[in-house]
Amino acid sequence: MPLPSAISDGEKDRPDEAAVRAGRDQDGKVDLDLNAVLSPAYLSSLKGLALKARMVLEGTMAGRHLSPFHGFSSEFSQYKGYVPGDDIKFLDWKVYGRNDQLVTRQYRDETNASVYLVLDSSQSMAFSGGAAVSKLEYAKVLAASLAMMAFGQRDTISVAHGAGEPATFLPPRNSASHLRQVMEMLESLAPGGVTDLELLFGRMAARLKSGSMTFLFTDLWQDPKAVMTGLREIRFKNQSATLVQILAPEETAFLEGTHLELEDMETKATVKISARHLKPQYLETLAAHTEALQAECFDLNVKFARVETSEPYFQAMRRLLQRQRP
Amino acid sequence: MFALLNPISLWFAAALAVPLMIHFLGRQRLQRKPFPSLLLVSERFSKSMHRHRLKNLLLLILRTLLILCVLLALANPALESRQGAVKPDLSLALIHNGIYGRLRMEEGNALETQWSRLRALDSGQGGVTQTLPVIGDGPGAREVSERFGDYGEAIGRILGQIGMHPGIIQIQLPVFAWTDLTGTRAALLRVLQEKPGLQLVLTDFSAAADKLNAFAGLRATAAPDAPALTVQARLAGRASGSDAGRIQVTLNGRLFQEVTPSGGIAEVTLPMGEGPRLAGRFSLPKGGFAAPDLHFCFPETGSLLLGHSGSDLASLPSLGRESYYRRIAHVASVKDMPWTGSQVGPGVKRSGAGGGKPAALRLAYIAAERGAPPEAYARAVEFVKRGGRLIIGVGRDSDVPLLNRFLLQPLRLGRLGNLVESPVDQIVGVDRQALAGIGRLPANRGAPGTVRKRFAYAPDSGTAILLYQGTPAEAVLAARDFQRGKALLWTTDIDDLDWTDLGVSALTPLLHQAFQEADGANGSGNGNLSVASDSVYTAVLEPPAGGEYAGQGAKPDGANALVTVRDPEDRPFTKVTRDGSRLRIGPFDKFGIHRIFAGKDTFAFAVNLAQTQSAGAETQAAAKAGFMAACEPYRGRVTILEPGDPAYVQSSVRRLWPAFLLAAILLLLLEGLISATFSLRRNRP
Repeated sequence: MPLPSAISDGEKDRPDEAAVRAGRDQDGKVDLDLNAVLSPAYLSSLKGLALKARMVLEGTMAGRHLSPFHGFSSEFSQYKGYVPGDDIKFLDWKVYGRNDQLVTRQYRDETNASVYLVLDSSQSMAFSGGAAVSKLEYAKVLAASLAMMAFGQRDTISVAHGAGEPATFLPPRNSASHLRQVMEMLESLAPGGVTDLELLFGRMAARLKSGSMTFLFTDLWQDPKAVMTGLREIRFKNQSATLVQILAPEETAFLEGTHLELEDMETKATVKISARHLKPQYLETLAAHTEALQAECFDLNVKFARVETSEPYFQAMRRLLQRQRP
Repeated sequence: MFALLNPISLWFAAALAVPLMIHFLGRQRLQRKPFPSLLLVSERFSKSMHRHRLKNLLLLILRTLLILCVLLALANPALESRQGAVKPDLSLALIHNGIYGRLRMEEGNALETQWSRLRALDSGQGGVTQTLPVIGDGPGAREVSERFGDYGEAIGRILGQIGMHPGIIQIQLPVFAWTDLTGTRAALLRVLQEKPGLQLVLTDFSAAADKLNAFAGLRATAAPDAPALTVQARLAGRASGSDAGRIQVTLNGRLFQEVTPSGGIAEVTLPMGEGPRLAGRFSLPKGGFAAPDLHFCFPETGSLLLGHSGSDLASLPSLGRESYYRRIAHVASVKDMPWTGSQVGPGVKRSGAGGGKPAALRLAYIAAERGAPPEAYARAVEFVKRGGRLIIGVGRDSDVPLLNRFLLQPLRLGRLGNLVESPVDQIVGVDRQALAGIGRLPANRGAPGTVRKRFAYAPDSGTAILLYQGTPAEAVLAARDFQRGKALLWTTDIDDLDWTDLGVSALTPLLHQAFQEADGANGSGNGNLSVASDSVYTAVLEPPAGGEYAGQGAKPDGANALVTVRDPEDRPFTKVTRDGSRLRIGPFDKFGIHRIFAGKDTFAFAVNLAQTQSAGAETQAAAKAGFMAACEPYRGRVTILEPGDPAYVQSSVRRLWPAFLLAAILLLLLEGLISATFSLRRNRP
């Protein structure tokens, strides 16, 4: 795949991580066109999920002037009165100097978080209509990026996937070997099966630890009520959950043409339609479907994010990492 | 029985394929496409698709029906419900496409009326009618004309040919003149007798044909020494009334003069020498009929005229101008040409007066154009040998070597060479003594004119140069006696029979007159009266009494002595008056016009003054009555209809085109309604 024009000619032959870094100036700002470099079309030409994930991750954090690698652990949380037995290295001597009181500083990273990445690997996720990568491929890159980010923050990572019953589940760990295992699992992930999100979410809920973070990657092609039943169980056990709806361009804008016979990728059912005539109706129905999902997520305090497989990964990542609503 | 009165329009049936092609070509092949989930593509979507397809199908059917209805409406469908109609196995229609076809009828002309009737007849019988144009006007007309000499002959031959056809035959026969049927009546009756299945349907157009008789009289004055010609037209019908007003005279389609008729006669003086006049017409200012078209005909270029008897033309009054030309050429090539002398053509009787006199042709004119067969030249030589007088005109289109070899040298006239053109007009000189040898000449004639182009000429010994040019004298007009006849040769460039290139035009009628009078001076009592370059009449003049001519039954009246003039068929002209050097003759033709020719300096006509319109109508009525009486034994098998008579076919026909047109309009409205309905349903939220 040709390199985007924003990159100089000398670097066209090696479109790797160095190319991305080469564009960074002394202030750490990126002057590359991230939209082009981190687009699904471009990254799909690269091999190695870890590499893609790293590029996405750096692209996501680029220009924020925050060190993503400090994570939660260095973030001040609150003061606490000193009691004998507390580690005196957390004593705040300045406060003692001003007020003659012994207080200790507490930080948020005193406990590691668990990040659960759940991927819907049903057959419908193999759809790539109008984009360079399929929905599942897109989800894999996002999941890998999140996994690397979590690993860097010493959070434990857990990955699961399946169409209904979870096919694979990696329990939460934080080690380099575990990260490699996660990457291998994600890379070998193949679509198949009929979507049953109620079952998938229900099974996963049973395995979640409390206080964990869960990212659910799916196209949500199921009745919203059934989806919410499973989601409710996850939310019940989880501190936070993010429902990521991944759709292909042809799903959001619908198809063209007048004489089409649509075949359901999972059930193999068919229907004859004129896409040109039915497009307005489809778009209306899709909007209603999305609205219903969003309303349910709002009620459950679940973050809902819809990403399209044609948009650059880093944009999707930034949307996912936006602060959760309280 | 359902029939289409205008089935030709079914050629447009291909238009039916248009909506079908649009439908099927626009219909794309179903494209199978995988889609993640049909969760949102609900049943309602599918129903909508069904509605879309249903709409397309309905519109296709409606549009096809719409075009079908329009086509059927154009095809003029009819429902024939007549009881007892006989369907013939063969229906034969003769179409008379001669000059009669141009007669104005109530709707269109006679030819259109014939076709209209034929279509109606044919549609009622399921399209079994065969048509045969009797007088051709288009390509191949000459062959048709040669196959069937005239209308009556055509009918007779066709009847003879259908005798063997099995089953019921119906013949649609337009009748323009019952007198035309006289010759074929026997054939008709014989076939009626021999062929029980034969049915005759005759459409009587003769009332319209009588219009030709309305132009009942025409007189003209051929003035040898004056460049003018007086034509008198005796008007008939509305034009002859006192309130007819002025009569318009048109020549070649342009208004030439308006004249006020006096006593039912309109007179106009036509200038001579101003180019050809091809057709003339007397008409009322508002376009009404005053006199039928007059055709001043010229032979077509390339034809060779060796004279003709005139009787051939007289027997074919229905021929149009174009056919007339062909007829002239035809006559020139027939074997039974009525030669002068002892040989007499068919139908040409010997002149009564003087007993044993040679008949008919005495003077001939040859326009020696390219393409004339050598046989014609041989005939011309023979003509002169037998006492004929021949004028030979040469033009740029003449085949001079052929002319030298087959005509001039056999006549010992000499040889023609190349065309010589002088930069200025050369004045023509006259050898009056030699010119007087061919006839009596006015003593006071001046210079005859000028010539610019002539052929180099080497006369044989014994050839007299009548007109010459320059010094040394170059022949312009040469003459030679040859055996019993005499030949004149114009060496000037004469392109056409108008002789418009000939500066000595005034001499042409002079020569005619000279020939005529020289012949009369032989003492035989005969006078060859040549009033046209291509026609000859034999004037049988009574011996002059007291130095003046006297006509039969009338005494000489000074300058206007009555004479009897007979045509080549020995039929007398009813009135010929001699007015000094002018001669006025009357026509002999059952339809009033015998024939009319015009040239720059010659004019010939023949109008039957004796036969009036009423007389013509009586003749027609008598002929019709005679025919019907003869058909009495075959009652029920001979039907005579007026042109607009709906009795035979049209009364039994219910025309359906309005119904189909209404259906087409309704279908159009229905199509709009369906489109609007489906559009509303689709936009419904």
